[in-house]
Amino acid sequence: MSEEEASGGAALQIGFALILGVAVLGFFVGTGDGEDLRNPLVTHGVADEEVTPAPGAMPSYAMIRGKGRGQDSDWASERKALSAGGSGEALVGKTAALTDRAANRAYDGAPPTIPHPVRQRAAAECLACHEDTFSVRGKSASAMSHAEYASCTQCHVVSEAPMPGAMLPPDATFAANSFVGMVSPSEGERAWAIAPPTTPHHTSMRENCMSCHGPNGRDPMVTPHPERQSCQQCHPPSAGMDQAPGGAR
Amino acid sequence: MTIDTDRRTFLKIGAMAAATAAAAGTPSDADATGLDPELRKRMGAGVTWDKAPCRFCGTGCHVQVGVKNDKVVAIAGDKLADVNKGLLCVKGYHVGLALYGEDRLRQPMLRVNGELQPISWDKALDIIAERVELDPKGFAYYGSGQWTIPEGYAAQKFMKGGLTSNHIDPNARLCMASAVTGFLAAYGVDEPAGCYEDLDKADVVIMWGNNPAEMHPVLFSRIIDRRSRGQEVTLIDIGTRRTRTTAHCQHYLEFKPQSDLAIANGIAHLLLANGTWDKEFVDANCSFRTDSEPRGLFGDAMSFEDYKAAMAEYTPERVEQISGVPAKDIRMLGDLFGRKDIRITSLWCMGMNQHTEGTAINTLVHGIHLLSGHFGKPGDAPTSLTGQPSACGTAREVGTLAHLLPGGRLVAKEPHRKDAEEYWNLPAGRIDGKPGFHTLKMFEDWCTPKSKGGSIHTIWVQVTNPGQTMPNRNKLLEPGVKDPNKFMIVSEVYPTATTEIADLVLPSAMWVEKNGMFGNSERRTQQWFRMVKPPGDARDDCWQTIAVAKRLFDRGFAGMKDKDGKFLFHIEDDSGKAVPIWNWSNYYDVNVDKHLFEEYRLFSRLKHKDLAPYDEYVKARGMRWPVVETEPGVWRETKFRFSGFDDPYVAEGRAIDFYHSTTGDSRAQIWFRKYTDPPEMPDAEYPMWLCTGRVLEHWHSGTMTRRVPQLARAMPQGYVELNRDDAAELSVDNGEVVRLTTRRGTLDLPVWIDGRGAPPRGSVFVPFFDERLLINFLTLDAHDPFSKQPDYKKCAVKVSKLSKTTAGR
Repeated sequence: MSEEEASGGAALQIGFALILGVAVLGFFVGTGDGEDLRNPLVTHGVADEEVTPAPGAMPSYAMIRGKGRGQDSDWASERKALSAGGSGEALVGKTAALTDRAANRAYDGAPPTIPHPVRQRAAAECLACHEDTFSVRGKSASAMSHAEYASCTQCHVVSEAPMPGAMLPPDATFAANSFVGMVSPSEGERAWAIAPPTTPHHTSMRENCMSCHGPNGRDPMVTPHPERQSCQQCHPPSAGMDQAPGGAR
Repeated sequence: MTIDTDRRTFLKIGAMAAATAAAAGTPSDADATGLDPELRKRMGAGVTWDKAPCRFCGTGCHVQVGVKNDKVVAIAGDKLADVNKGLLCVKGYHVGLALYGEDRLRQPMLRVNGELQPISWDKALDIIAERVELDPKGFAYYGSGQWTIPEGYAAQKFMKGGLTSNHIDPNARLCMASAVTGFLAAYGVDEPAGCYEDLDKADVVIMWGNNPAEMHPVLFSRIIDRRSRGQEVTLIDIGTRRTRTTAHCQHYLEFKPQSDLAIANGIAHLLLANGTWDKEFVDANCSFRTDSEPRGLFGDAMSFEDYKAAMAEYTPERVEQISGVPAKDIRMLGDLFGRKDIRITSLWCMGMNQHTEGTAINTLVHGIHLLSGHFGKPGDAPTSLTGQPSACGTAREVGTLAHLLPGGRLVAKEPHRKDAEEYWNLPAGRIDGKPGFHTLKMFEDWCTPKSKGGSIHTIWVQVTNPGQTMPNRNKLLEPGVKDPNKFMIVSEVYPTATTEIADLVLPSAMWVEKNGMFGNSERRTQQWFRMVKPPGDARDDCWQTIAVAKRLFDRGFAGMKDKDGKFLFHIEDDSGKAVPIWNWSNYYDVNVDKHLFEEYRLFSRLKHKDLAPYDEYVKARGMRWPVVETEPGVWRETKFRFSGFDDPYVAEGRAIDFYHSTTGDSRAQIWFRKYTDPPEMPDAEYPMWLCTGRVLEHWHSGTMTRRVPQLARAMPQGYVELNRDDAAELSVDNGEVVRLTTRRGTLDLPVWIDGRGAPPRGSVFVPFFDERLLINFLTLDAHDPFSKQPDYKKCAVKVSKLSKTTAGR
């Protein structure tokens, strides 16, 4: 190699090394905690007092890191305590939930009536919202509690007249119906105070527990342990109600 | 309350909670939980469950009924039932509520000066006995496909064995009669050969003018849910309007009313023209038949050549001309039937039965299945679906028709009368050999004054609502209602259009308020026990018949004695002591159902519709006849009748055996019958077709379902389905009230465009469940010549715009 080429080659190598060095340095600088340009209030390190992010901004990991587990202004759980009895607030919630459920079910286990209009003739688009649970603006479309059937409107009917036009006045003789349906149970039986409760209702058409007991369910019914997926491992169904051998005739 | 995960605290809480619970008592103590005690009372503790078939349609689903404190409080699908496997439909899920409308009839009532006044049962029985004694030959019984088997059997024995009268006919005359005559003309014996398992195996299912998505929902979902499991099943809807069923079908063949006859012939034509008919099957098992002159149910023999020649006219183009169905679709059907590698099930109900050529179309559809060999293998079946829960079990099998005796026997045949007289221990000649009046004739005669030859003076109606369901009501009901010499007795559970015109109203027990048995659409006899008491002084329909019989017996009516002088309904308990079941308080001292059924069973052997002992049905979720005892105490049902692999009565070595063949040679009949126009078609004055029918939410005339809030809210009112373009032409808006007029009557109805169903141009549809909008003032009473079944599906109507906004007459 000539001296010129050699010195040119060395300069190139140093240049590459510099660029590489800057790149590596830049990489580590970039992944470090830089200043949060969006939120000038955030400081590094542990925050002793609560620091509220600006509206619309997310709390940083730094903010969350040092805190103990539990509720604060960053996240609030609305779960009520689940126990036999429980506080007054929990009871009101339970009664409200049971009454609410009973409003569109003739009895515990009846197919709920549909609280919104549906297309009357064509095959239903129910699964668009009810295949998985779906919440929007405080209203929940619960996931189907049972396996998929092709003819939803065979069992689920609307709760208001589907046809247009003036209704005839109801017959005087078509008086009320005095049927009083069995109501959903408020809790299952526990062998002792904090034992897993047995399933106090039959599971026919209710194989998907999360439909009612999942995060989008009514408050008192929401499971405190949604991460556990094998419900019947601890919450056994009733042989009598589920027509298991030895149960109902 | 935050959840402190500290272990010590956790255990502390646990201990405190346990102590509190122990101090407060059991969890079911309302005070401890603080939960609303009224709510607490309604929870599942203390509910007992028992099985019953559903009260509603001919599918015959089994339900589990939850009872607490003598009230039905819940329903669940019965998972152990073969028919529905735990699934129900909306009516089935709400069947328990049907018992609790607050206007349940509780007391017998007699119409005095136009008003119904309460009277005692004792007085009511005397009144009925007097009406019988007036002239036993003029006393008629109008029964029902919703009668339990023992109820129908008691009425049958009372009339034919007691009164020597054959004027007993069921509402099934308006519903399944053409299916019956179709079976008889084709196979020589009634009821489908296949069963619901055909639905699980068919590759192609064809609907012939029926809407099972709404009318047999559990059977329909049994088919379409196969798709969710990855199975392919092709559904074809041959219909006169688009329905919920159409939405699930791959093909919709819209045909002009009545032209189903041409479509069936078109398929037969193609099988012959293409050479794809099943020569082997036909040579072994079939003969050909055509109408005799004059026409008779069993017709004349026809040669194959003549059959082929007769079918030559029904080319796809000719069929398109008659029916409006494109020729290519007829070819598609012909190709499907011509294939040997697929299984085809045809389903039909009222579209083919409520038809002035109902017998003909039934025989033609049987014919194409026989001609193509799509018969006798699981999935290959011409399957008539029965509408009512026990039209098969009671009306057809017990033979509560004007010309029948139990077990498929005929009053006109002496050996059959002798059988009945022997089983009923009657003196020879007690049973009349002359058939009585079929339903339309019965009511027509009741509407005819005595001076003009009307011999029927009294009709006793049980478990049905002719006031709402008789066609052409102006002709078949009003004149009798107005005639003071005519009398109507109605056993009912609620005020209906029939109690409205009745002279004597008897409050009846309903469904699980009594023991019962039904026979569903797949030959399955099912049983249930009483679970709750009926309201007020309502009593079992079966008791009512027996009590009237005893009243007549006590008054010296000879017919109520058997040949040894014993009461016709003499029943003994296990110790041999007579039980006075005619006293209501003793009625449940024994199981009257069981006694009557064990007597009735004897009749079932003749036509090989063998029934098992009552106790077998107690154990099972129904069993399909013929049920045979394979070893002592072991009873085996038959799924596929006439098929050698399953039917024990098929002759040895045969694959197929039509052992009740009308020609006595183990052959079924493939019929040729031509297309003819219906008696009333649209014309210049009445330019549209009027079709009537049902909807999912309401059972028949709605007397039960309109009192169930969930069902009534979902379908509160009658309406007329009008095509969108027809509405535009009439300048009628959705919801506007229009006037329907036929030659027989007028009715104003609100319009529903693109609602539950969508009729084509020139056609309207009206459901008949709403008694305030009684469409049967407009319908036609023309009927099939053999079955005497009227045609509710087609007559001519004009639709006119109105200025007023209230519906009604």
